[in-house]
Amino acid sequence: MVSRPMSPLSPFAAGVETANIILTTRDARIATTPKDVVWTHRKTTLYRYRSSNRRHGVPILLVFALINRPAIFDLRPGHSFVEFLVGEGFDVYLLDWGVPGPEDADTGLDYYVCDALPWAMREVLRSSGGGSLSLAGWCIGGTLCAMHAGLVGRRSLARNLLLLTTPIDPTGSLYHTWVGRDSFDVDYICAHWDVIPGLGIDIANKLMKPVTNLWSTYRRLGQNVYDGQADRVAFTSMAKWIADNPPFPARAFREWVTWIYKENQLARGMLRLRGQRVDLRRIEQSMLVVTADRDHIVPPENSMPLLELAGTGDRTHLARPGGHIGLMAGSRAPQQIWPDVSDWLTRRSD
Amino acid sequence: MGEQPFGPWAPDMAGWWRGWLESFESEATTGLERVVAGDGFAELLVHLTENAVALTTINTDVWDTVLRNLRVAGRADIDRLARQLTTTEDKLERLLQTLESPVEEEPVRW
Repeated sequence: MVSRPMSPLSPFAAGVETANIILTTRDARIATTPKDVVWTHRKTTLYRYRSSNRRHGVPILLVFALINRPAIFDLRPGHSFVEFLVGEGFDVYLLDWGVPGPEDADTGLDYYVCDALPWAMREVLRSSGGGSLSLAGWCIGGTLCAMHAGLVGRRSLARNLLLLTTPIDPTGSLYHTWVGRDSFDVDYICAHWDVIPGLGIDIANKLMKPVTNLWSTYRRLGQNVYDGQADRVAFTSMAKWIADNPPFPARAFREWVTWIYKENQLARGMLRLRGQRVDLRRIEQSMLVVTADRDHIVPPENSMPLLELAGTGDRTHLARPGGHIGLMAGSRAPQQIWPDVSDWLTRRSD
Repeated sequence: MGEQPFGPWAPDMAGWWRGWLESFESEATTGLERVVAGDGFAELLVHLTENAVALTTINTDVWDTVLRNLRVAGRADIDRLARQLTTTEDKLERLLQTLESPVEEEPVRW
């Protein structure tokens, strides 16, 4: 602990500095690793990160959720999963779903799984010159990747599947309690809203741990400032990312809630996209499933069924301490999980 | 921590306050997380969400009617135009992929 001279004004000064950190959150620099646009379609953009250090033949395509923005993969300089992968010699691509508007109300899960994702994979291979790639999905992004592999099977361009805190069977989760119940009328909501406001989803996420999210975070920041231990850059970059909530297209939201939370169709093998059955037993890619022990959004037991359901013989499970986001973007992630992920990918990328 | 902010004679107010806050937070965290996990809170969320939907729908409808009566394009009109553009973009993308695909390659059909 850092000792510093104290005065009666110290608590006041710490309060002012804490307020300054919170008020300047919007100025934080996030997602700064240099990248180029490779392909765009509708609101979707495919980026490739610049590198002069590519050592592995199989490129990686990062796919994030439909909630929040993919900047979490590249949070801040010196603490970026993208920067780490580029440094390890991987050819890294990022799929950004963009910010949907009311005009995207009829965008369904089939667009993401059947169009945008395979088309982006095709563009990755055109750009990298390789024959196959590694798909790395986080949260809903992981579910979309699993759906793709379960739909296309061995015809997929993906060779490896990396799934981070991915919901497959949400039974027992808090979200299941909230939106899986009969009284949650998702059809009514989506009949009137073209997009589900990002603010609403953010409030719901924060209400899952109300004291921690709405009070303790700021109290701890103030305490760290008072103790002279506050990490301004770490706090503001994460706070900026958390506050950036794009809307969720109504049709995709209705399908997500109905198919996954109310009817559990994916885990039960009953999900169909454009008439084709999504069968997780068709997953033949090497598969790494990563779970976080304190994940309250996607508890480990929501991801684990995939280890049983997938047809691949090469499946690995990494269970690590952490929360839904902290697992991959927290202060301990560079030591606790990134090297293991890199090792797993390296063994399957040449 | 450094010296006492209010002098050596004062009790460790900061330490006492910090301890009290942490204890309060711990109790509140456990209690409120139990509350939000309950059926009662879930039902409350359902009603709050439906109220928010109803209010925003009324607001949107009123403004769209006002704009239409002023002979100005409303959000719904712009959305319709955007959807037509999206459909055209989809067709162009599929056409491009068909043109670029080697003849012997069987395209994945949905």
